[in-house]
Amino acid sequence: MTQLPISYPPAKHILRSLRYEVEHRPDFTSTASMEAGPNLRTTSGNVEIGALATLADATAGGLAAIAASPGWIATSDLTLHLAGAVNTERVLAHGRVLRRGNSKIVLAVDLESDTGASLGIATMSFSVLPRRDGNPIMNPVSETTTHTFMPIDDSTQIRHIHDAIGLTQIAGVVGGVESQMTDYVVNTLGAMQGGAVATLGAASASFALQAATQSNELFECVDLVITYLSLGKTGPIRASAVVTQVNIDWGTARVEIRDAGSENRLMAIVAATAVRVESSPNTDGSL
Amino acid sequence: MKPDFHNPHFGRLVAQYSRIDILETTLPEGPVTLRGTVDIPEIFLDEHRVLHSGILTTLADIIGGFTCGLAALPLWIVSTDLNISRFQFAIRGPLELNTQILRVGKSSAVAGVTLTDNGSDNAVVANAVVSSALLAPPDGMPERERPFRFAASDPESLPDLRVLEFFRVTVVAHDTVSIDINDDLRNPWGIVHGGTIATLVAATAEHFGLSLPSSTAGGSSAETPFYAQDTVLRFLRPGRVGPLIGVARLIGERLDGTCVEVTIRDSGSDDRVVAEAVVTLRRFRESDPLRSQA
Repeated sequence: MTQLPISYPPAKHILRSLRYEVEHRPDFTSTASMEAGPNLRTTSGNVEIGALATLADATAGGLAAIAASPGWIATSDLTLHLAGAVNTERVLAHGRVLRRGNSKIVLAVDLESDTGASLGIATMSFSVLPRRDGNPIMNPVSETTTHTFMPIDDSTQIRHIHDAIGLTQIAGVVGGVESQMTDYVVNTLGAMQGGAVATLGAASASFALQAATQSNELFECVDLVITYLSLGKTGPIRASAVVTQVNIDWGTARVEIRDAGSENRLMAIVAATAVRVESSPNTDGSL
Repeated sequence: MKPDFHNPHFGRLVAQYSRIDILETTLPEGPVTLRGTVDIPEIFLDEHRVLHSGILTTLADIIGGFTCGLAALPLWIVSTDLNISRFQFAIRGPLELNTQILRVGKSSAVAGVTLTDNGSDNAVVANAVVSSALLAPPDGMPERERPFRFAASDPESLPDLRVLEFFRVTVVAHDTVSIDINDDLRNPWGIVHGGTIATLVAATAEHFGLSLPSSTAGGSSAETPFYAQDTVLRFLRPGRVGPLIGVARLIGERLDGTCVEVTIRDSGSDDRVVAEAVVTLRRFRESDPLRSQA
């Protein structure tokens, strides 16, 4: 059985907002799910890509932690490519290990609707670290299936993920957004959780593209390619963007995320693709 | 095939074929930076003057790898992950590549690569990030002169073959493409060069795209070709024997393009998975500023 310390995740945490539930199996595969409630939706009604990235990161991270045991892990990079806009009520994530090395573990996570429709694919790599006090303890090679459910806290459930993260726009900065380091976004290393970093990156890219087109139309990210360079522990965590490409229906942006409280150290770079969306999305998951 | 970093002729042909010329630009006490230039031969271009997607990724892999390697000395590196986003299809050339080391740890290094088109007012053609694992070659690394230089070979001495021909690419099925490995396609570690694998990924994805309905991959006219515009490539295990087989699977079709997963296996090594990639295919755009002048 997975033994997570009582302290992680905290009572108000991004994983709980997802109603995150996961099953890790002995063959190093996992299936996780999230309930895509209104708190995880964009204003157009689609599921926030940041929430999907959090789902993928948590699923792959749990699997990588089991594969790395007795060591611990840190996310090196995360890529997420959506098949289109996601607006199902429940999203499933099927994790699989692509490579299990001594210093690095690579995984893929296939996202599906509860009817089996493909919603996208995420890939992640994790560095294997020496165990430190406070790291959750995972069984080295699990002989039994483990099942974990993150019960929700009512107050986080009703707050939109952007509000819960504390995401605010920075005036005068292209794609400028920031959030404070709080328990809500902390990971097992005491740094900002990878999915929260992805949420900041996606918001930054979307705002930058909207500004570049000088329109009120929404841009929503469909691809995120994130390279994590250092841990963000102090905050505020700030993102800014450069628009690299913009077309009629879509655009791309490169986002830098820095820990302003740690000498503005570069934490992550994000290559994002976003598409222009209508305010009333289709109900079949397509744009 | 054993590693051999001391033989200047072993495992170098892919880098030589790419025409890249590299000069170290690191400032004293500064992080490693390199500048590469590439005189683009016609054999790298198609009728729209679009650089072959495989060569584009190969160039990023080579110079990103050298950047990580120099930062890792006295160890050396193997590429583990590469992601590249292309912003401009048609190019005039020559290409310039500038790199910077983004992170060096005990076991890994990360480099950023920016590719610009000198012939188009230095327009940014693509951005890439190359991640590497640090390793010690069994016979040690030869002394590297600093500033580092990798001089381009005389083009007359290089195979005058188009990209798919040089890399021995063969179409197997609508979703399957293979490369028959020979020593020319290896690197100094004696394993299949990252550029070879990158070319197989691009060839597999782009060939698979031909089988998609005309309304997909960006929504433009089916008469326009499409290319691997964004690629995330994970090198999982060394390619050793071959043939390497690339198989594509559709992830989804969107307004901006079509997303494809490509899995590369080494059929001569128990069919093990060598690399995994996700590629976004997009059609050549009418609005591309150079198209009418190509």
